[in-house]
Amino acid sequence: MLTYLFLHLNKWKKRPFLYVLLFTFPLLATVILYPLLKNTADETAVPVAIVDQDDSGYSETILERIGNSERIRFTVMDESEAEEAVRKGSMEAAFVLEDGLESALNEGDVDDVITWIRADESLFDVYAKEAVGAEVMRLAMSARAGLRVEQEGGSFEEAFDYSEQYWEPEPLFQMSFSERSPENQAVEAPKLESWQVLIMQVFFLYGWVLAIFFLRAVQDDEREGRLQRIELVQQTKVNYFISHFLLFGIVGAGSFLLGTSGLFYITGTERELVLAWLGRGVVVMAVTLFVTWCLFMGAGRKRWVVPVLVLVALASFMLTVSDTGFTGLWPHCLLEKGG
Amino acid sequence: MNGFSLWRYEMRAAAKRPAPLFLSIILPLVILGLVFLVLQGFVEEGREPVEAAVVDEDDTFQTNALINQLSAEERLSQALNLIPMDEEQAEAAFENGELAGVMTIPEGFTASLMNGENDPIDVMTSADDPLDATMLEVLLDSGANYISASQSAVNTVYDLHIRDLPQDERSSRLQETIITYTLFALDRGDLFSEETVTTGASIGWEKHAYLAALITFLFLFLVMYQMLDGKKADGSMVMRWRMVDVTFVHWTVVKQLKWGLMTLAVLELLVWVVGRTDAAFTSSLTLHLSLLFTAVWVSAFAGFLYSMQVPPGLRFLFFFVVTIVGLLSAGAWVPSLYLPEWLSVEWSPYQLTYDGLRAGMLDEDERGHLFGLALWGVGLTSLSILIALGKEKRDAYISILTSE
Amino acid sequence: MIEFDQVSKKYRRKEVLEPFSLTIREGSAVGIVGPNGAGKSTFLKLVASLDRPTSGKVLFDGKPYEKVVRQVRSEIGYVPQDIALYEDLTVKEQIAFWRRLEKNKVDEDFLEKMVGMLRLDEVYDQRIDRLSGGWKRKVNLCIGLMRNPKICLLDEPTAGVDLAAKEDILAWLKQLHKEGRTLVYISHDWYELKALSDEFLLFAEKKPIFQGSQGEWLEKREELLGRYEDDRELRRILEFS
Repeated sequence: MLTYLFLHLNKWKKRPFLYVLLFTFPLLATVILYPLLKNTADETAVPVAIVDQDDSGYSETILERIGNSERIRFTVMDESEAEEAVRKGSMEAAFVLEDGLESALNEGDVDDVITWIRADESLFDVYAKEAVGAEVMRLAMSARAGLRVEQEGGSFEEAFDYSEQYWEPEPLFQMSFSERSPENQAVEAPKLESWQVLIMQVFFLYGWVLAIFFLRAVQDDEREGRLQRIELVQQTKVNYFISHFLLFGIVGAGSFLLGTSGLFYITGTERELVLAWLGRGVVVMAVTLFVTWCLFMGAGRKRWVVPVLVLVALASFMLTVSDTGFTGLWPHCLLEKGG
Repeated sequence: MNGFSLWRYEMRAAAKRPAPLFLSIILPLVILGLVFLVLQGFVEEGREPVEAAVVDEDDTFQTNALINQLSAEERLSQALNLIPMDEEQAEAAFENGELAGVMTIPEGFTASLMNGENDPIDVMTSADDPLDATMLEVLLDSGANYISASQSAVNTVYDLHIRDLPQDERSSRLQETIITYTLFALDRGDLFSEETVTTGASIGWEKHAYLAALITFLFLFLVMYQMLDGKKADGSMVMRWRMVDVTFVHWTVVKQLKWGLMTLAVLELLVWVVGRTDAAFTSSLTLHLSLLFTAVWVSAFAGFLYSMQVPPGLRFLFFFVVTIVGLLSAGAWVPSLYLPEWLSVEWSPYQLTYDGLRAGMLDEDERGHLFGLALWGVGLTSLSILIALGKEKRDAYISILTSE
Repeated sequence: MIEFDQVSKKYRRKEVLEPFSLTIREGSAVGIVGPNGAGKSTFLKLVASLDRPTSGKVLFDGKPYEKVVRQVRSEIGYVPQDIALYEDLTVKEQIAFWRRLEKNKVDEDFLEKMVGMLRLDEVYDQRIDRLSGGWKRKVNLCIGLMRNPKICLLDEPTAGVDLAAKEDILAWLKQLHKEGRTLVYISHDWYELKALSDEFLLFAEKKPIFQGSQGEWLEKREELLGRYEDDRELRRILEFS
């Protein structure tokens, strides 16, 4: 084993940059691309214009409160600007808080206090509508309570403030969501994010393909007559093949594990999850590489075997990720079930 | 011109050994096809209302109103089918995978709500059905805000007015308040008067999808093809070519030309096929020009990597990663409207490609991007020629420059 | 005439040829010998203009190579040590392909004669990858010399071929020399060297250490043997001559 390892290390030493880069590519890609992609994902939002025609206490409150909405980027504009922006497609929609909004709400009338300007192509502005609607409705309901109490001889302001305090520190009615697996409803299973699983699948594919390309070294040895020489010297080819199988495993699994560990580290994944997934990953990778090796040997180590194996690896990845695989036996499928 | 003979040989080799070209076309198409299937699955799944169970262990007037409020609201009821069940039924249905989630209203919930204590309602969502589970979360969350609003008002009126009423009146007044306020909150659609404007410049989702597919295919194709086709020639073969004055510069230029031509041909073919099958897809002079200039710069980029003598596998990885970042930043997948502003780089060739093809699809006369693309093409080509010249000069002689 | 004036060659930082000067006369047949790694192939590539010296100048009829590289390449035929052929073409296609590249430089009569002498017409329609090593060598030679060059550079043209093929090749090379062409070739075979060359060039320790006729070689041999006593490889070469 060490003899053959030395042989390959020597080869890799000749072009260290290339081989180190190939081996650590998943890790490097994670380190370089993760911050960029994370920032992009965090800051992706629907741009929406908001116009304050009322210029009242209520409208200011609304602007202030919707400013914290996730996934919606509100920009204050004047009406013509906003309409033009929607028309030009630089804003998904615009909401105009119409003049007289505060007095209408105080009178218990909520009809058409907001004009919602959208385009045929607008798609995600309904979320903004929900956000604006919820804030207006909150004020409207508080005003409504104030009105009612005032009718019964109490103070409008006092009742309004009383109603508003139900929102602090948390709104009155909340839902707490917990994700459970149908098979085991009792405990909340910690889970990787689906994108993390996808990246792991990509790294698995990469490691697998890298290992398959390593097989070309075996093909070269055979073609150039080195394998025959080894057979003559050692009386057997078994040692050669065992050593190369192990190296093949180290190349594939090493690159995969390096990239995956880097991903878990950089995303601060829980230890328990990391161990479970890495464990599963190692087992699935080992089985996959073993089967790949058997196919390679079984097919007589012919030249066409390498491209065919690469296609098999690609098929496993693509069919699993798109959920169209004909069977659950694809290595990527087995890896995914690890969660 | 012996460079032309090399070109002829390269083209003949492409015809005689079509596997690289074939694979570079088929694989991206398969990938895009699978992505399409997945997206279609999402869209179809999205059309069906999400099924969820509600287990009401409190069973009071308030909780009934609340369930009613969640399930009867117009927009919610289209997307969410909230089925009342008892605990065991819900558990069994969840286990069978029939439900995206189970919402449980605990006993004593009403009392805590009236006291102003905010005990949240537990909602268990299915880990096996992440899409529906997310949908359920969004729908219930938005409903929760309106319920909070009406319930805050109900509590206020109860505390400041109804509580002081005689015992026999209290209950009926409370129920009346709840009904009125709930109905009021349900009518939130009345808040808005809707106005639709027609957009001139927006590309629309269907065309965006076409463009995303076209542009993704384009890069996947070339990223693969330049790897499969770009193996370095054997040393002694290079010598033999050098003897007939065909240098590394010729190799670089010929490879680039070949890749550019193949890219253009494949793209034109694709556009033609799509145009034949879908009447909504219109092609225009701007589109063809954009395809041409795109082919010029992408092949120049591949040629540049070739001139740097980067090994094919590494070239693939590098080109692939740069392309992912480039296309993401250009808004080729997620429209740049939704992306953070710092991500978009106006002069990036990927951005220019997207803008050029977009203008082409909308049949706009705006052709400024073409100039940018041409600049990138010329720049990268010059750079790769210079690098190749440098290499040739280091290794041997450049007859065109020095010889009499 | 080709002159080397204080020429040296480095690959990256590794020196493969130390500074040296020599002249190759027109019409001579120079047989190059020397141990492996002495710089023979690099020297031949420098003559062929396929490599550029790190320092010094190579002159062709008194003019530096960079000024006349087109002329140099048009008058030189180079046969590489490796088989530089497109494997998927037949012999006929291979010849046609390279002939197109040579444009009008190819002398059809000469080519026909060469094909005949090397008996290539026997395998005209076979693909290169189906040919034996000897045939490949002959095709390799034919392609390298098809332009009817004034100067023929050959890097071990008979390495690994059978006797019949070797005979064909040597007969053809003799014929070329007889017609007045300059031959510069590398070989490890003294029989071949003696049969062909009127001048020997001995490379050792990264430079040429002897250039002269067969007679001069015999005179200098003992001295060289004494001087390079410790170099086993070189000693064997000298002894076998």
